[in-house]
Amino acid sequence: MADLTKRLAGLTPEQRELLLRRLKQEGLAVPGEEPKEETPFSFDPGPEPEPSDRPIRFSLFFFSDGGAKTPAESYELLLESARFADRQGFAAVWTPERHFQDFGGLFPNPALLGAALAAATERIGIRAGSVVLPLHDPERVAGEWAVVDRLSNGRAGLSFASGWHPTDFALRPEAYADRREIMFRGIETVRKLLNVPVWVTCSTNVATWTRAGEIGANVLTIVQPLPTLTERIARYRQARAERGLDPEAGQVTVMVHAFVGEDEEAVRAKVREPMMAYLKTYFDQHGFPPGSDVDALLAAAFESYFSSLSLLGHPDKGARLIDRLRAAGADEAACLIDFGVDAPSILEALPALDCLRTRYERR
Amino acid sequence: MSPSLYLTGGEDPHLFLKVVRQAEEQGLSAVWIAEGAGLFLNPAVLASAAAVATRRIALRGCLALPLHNPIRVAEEWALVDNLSGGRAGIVIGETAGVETVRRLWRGEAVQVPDGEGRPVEVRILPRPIQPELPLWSRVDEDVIQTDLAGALELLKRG
Repeated sequence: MADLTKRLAGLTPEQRELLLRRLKQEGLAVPGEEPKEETPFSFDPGPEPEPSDRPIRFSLFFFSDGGAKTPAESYELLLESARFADRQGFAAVWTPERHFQDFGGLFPNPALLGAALAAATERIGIRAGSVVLPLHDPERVAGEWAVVDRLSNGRAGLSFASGWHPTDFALRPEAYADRREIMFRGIETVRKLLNVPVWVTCSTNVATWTRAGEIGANVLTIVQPLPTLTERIARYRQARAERGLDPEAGQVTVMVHAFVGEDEEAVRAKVREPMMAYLKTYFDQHGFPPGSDVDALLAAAFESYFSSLSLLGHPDKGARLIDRLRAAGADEAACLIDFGVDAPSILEALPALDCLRTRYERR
Repeated sequence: MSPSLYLTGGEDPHLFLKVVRQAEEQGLSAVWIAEGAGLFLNPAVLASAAAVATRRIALRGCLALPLHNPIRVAEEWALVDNLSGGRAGIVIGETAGVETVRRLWRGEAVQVPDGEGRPVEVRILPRPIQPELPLWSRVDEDVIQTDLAGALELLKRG
């Protein structure tokens, strides 16, 4: 890993150009959502935004447990971070659903973690990001989350994803072919049985954003360049308006990698390797662009994330991303903190993230 | 062996936590959570909450396995095992799925069809803390069987 920067620097401008073009074509997608993109994803953050006074909230998002030595340590990190976020006044803590693979495999059912978090916290929102709904009986999902909601005195929320990995559908093979429609039908069922805020997990697929708007759900998505994000959010709010729903009442939650620290180089040294390992796991699952120089691709992806598409590093740099998200019309930054840094370092860095948060919201 | 509580039902999750905490304080060895309706729909959800609210008492689900996917049962209770530091256990009748649950718990792979109908080998995550799943075919002889309200009364009387 150590010589990657050198290798990237060793590319000719043409090679680098080619690499970046491949990155744009491949892009990254939301966990649980199909990685296929309708439009090219770019690592270019886009032009400087107009200043915005839109309020934005912060939450913690768990999804990959990459840095823990044992499962028990992962859950300890989850509970410790959630207790911190609860005390400080973060909006929510999100946990995912994952099966079978190492990448986030420690989270088989977010309702179980939600119940544990409900018992461990007082006021923070407890949300699933995301329940892969086609894998389950929606009535059972509603029933399990009814318990979490009561246990937490009404703090539960749910985002739903269609899923995409054929192996996950070992739990319910018959739902694979028509998973997207099964998800939307399932959401209807859950909402009839359970009155909690509902999100739809969207990558950049316009149809999913529009459908989320039409059914009056919130949206959970992953950070993407400002022009794309702005356009998707506008479509979503327009779809709400067309159904007679207040367009601004829909919440758009955007996932961003977070490890805030004043010392850029110290943070870079801390996050680079785990972030690259995370990106590699990600590309392993979603497929590398054919013929690509894997190491150079990962190095380029890391640099893009570090420079402008994450809360990795100096808080002022992070604030610029938050301002971009506000200008794009987002309502919440969901901070991915368990992408592979060791647990003690993650906990140590949380106060700096909280400090950034208090620039935008009160304690 | 100290007695244990077999919880058959109830409505209030806060009362559930109160009962489990109280049972632990009074030195009971285990709570058994019967699968049922409402609050007791999935005992693993209640056991997860109890796991972080207690330190020592064993948390056991009584499941009607034929109704469920053995993979789900294994991964959910492996999570309870981790959250509780190795206090999970389950009661299931002698049904076809038991052996699958047992094997998955040990870290073995089972072969199942994936979403495209191809056979895949799956192993569960997280890996549980206890190497062998504590498994009963029925609850112990010396359990006190009651609903939540009754359990609270019994515990008050000591």
